[in-house]
Order: sequence, then structure tokens, then C-alpha cells
Amino acid sequence: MKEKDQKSVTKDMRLSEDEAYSDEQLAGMVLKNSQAFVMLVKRYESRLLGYIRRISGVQIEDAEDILQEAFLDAYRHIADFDASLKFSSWIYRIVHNKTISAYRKRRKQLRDVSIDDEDTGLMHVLAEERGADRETEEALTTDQIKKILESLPERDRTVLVLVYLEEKTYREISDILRVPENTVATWIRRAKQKFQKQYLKEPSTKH
Amino acid sequence: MSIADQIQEQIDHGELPKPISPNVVRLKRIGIWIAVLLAIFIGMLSTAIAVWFLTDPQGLLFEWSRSDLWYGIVNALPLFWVLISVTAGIVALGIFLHTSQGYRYRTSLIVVTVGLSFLAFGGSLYAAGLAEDIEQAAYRFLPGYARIVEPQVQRYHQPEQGRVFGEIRQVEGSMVELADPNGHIWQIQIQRERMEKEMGEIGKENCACTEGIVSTTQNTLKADQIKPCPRALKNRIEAMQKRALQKAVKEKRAQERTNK
Repeated sequence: MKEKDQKSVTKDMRLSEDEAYSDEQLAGMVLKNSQAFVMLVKRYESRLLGYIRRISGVQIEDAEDILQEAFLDAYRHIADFDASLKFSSWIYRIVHNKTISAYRKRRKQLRDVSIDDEDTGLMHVLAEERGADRETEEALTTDQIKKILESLPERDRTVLVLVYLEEKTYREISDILRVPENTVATWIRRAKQKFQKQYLKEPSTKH
Repeated sequence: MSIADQIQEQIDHGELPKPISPNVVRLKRIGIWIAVLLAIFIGMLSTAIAVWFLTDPQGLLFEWSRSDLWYGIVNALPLFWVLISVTAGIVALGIFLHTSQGYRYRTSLIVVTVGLSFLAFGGSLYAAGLAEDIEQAAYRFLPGYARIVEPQVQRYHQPEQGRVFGEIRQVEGSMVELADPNGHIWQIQIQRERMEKEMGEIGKENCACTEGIVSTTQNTLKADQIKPCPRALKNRIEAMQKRALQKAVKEKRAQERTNK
């Protein structure tokens, strides 16, 4: 692979989408070939746009602005990427920090989190805790999830989104949020409890 | 237009900002680790000095300090070193958490590890007899430290209150000759039985603290107590005498200039 890297790092030579470079390999090539970065952007663009909207609820245009800024930051600091981490954790961390600072600046405008119909992950939080069957899971609409998430504090919402919607492992969340794994586990447990509590409080969710 | 396309365009037009050089990143990382190690090193040294002070039988447990709160506080010079150790520990922790993977460890684990390493290495330095030298070096080179030590020294040397300390020059019968920090010679009278008991502990050519009634006309003190000096004082006498001598010479020269 090293030879392959050497051959393919001619300055700004376009890289083929089909070439099976891992994210980490591409990140290692960016300093010599900016095209490697474009490939990374292509791989992460839509995923990260979704993440920004899920945790902050900004409009798509604002999310794109945040993401572009985050990508430019990532490009500037690419030498800072620690190869012992997953690239996805590193880029999520940068995007997360950018989103949170934008969120804090405009807190009032950003209460409306974005959940898609395919975002069923959080329904499991309730099912798993209440021992409920599929019917209960399905009874929770994306609208209700949105409402509950909106009512949760920023940290709780973030960890729930990361674990249930982005399907990140505890280790990855630990790398994204820069906290120990045990802390991640504690935050997730508390966030789940709050989510369930909110679910029971929500008038439209009472059976 | 997707973000990838926009970035592609920026690359094509040469508008993408240049990435920070890997050498700069490497230097930053090395700098962070040097700062962590430096904080740990300072913590270890100050722990060694704190242990040296705290294990001084004449220090905190000094008889006179029991009834006097201020005296007790002043005597607690080791607290300064404990404070330095704690500060160094907090700094080391704070910087360590900013290393590339420092966040992976629990803060409590890092605190315990740093605390134990301070105690272990600081204790070893003390056991190796280096703590005293480190404290002496701090007195000489650490800006402001001499000023922290001074009040403690002052409390032990208040002739008007009947307190005198200094270097033992001579012991004759029930009389001890002391050279105080200002270079003045004091004759200390003490009961013979008491003298035999205490002097064994102090030893000749060493430092002693005395308390009693001072004669108003000459440098004589009828002592109720004579004890070995706390560690902080023992190391100060020579430096203080030197300073007193320099001061006296300066004053003499100034006097001569005025007379002319």
C-alpha cells in the first residue's frame, strides 16, 4: 500500500473514486495531494450535514456553511490528525465543535432539531428500557422524537444522536467529544433516562 | 454545487489555505510534553522539600507554636511547598488532558497517578538527602522565596520578646555563645541540668533557638528553653549573617561619606 501511496501522491493528481483507499490513508496523502481531501469531503459530506442538522436543527444552508468551514479547518490542520484515531472520529470532532459554537452563538434560532423518517434508532431507547415490543417502537413518530430531543439539554441530545442515529461506538464518541469512555457511558445512560422521562411527559405519547 | 465541488474549485484556483506544516504540529506536541514533564518535575522537587519540612521534629511541632496561631501559620512554611506541588499537579493534569489522547483517561486516575508519583519520587529525593540542597537552591535562585522565608525567621528572632536564635559558637559551663542572624554575639545562660539534656540534642557548632528573659543592657539572655532550630532556620543563618555584614559595611561607608 505504501508503494501505491507513493505512486499516487503526485501533486493534485485526481484520484479515482474506485481506488480502495481507507480514510486514514487518504488523510495521510492530503499534504502531498489535495485531491485526497476532496475524496474525503465527498465521503463525509452528506453524513456530516445530517449530523449537524440532527444536533442543532439549523437550516440546510447554515449547515452547509458550518460544514464548509469545518472542512477548511480540517484541511488546515490535517497534519494534526492522529493516525491512531479513526479519521471519522477526528472529522466528527471538528464538525461537532464548529456546530456547537455556532449553536451557542444562535441558541434561540436553533431549537428545531432535524430528524428524518429513517432515524428510527431512538425508538429503541424506549423499547429497550420498557421491554416494549415493536408496536411501541412504531408508535413513536419522528415528530415526537424531534420534540423530545429538542427538549433535552445539548449534551444529552448529542450523545443520543451519536449513539443511536450516527451509530457510533463508545470509543468513537469518546474520541469525538474528547472524554473518557466511562464518561460517555454515564452520559448516554443519563440521556436515555431523560429521553424516557420526556417521552412519558409528552401528552401525544401517552397511550 | 456540493461542498466537495466548491473545495475542488478552490483547489483549482489555488484558493485553498495552506495546511499547517507537520513540523509545527510535531513541535507543538513536543512542547506540550515538555510542559507536562516540567510540571511533574517541579511537583516532585517541591514535594521533596515539603516532606523535608513536614518531617522536621522542630518544625510544626515546635513547642512555642502550640499556643500561638499566627506562629503556627508562619511555621507552616511547608504549606508553601505543598501549594507549589498541588499547583504543579493541576498544571500537569490540565496540560496532559490537552495531549492528543489525554482525554481517554479518567481525571481521577490521572490525579491519583500524579499524586502518587510526586510522593514516590519526592520521597525518594528526600530519602537520598537531596531535599535540603533543593531548598537551599530555591532560597538562592527562586525569586521571592527569600521574602516568604523572612517572616518565619523574624518570628524566631525577636530579642525584645525574649526570642533569639543563632549559630552556637561556644559552650562553657552553663553559658552558650550564639551568633544571631545579624552577626551579633549573644551570651545565653541556662540551668546546667537542662543544658546537658538539650545540648546533646543540638550539638556544638549547630543552630539553636532560645526563649527567656533578655538583659536590657547587653546581649545576654537567661533562657527558659533552648532547642534545635527548625530546618528552615538552620539553612538561613549563614546567608543572613552575610547579608547583615554587607549591610553594616554599606552603612559604615555611607557614614564615612557623610562625615567627609
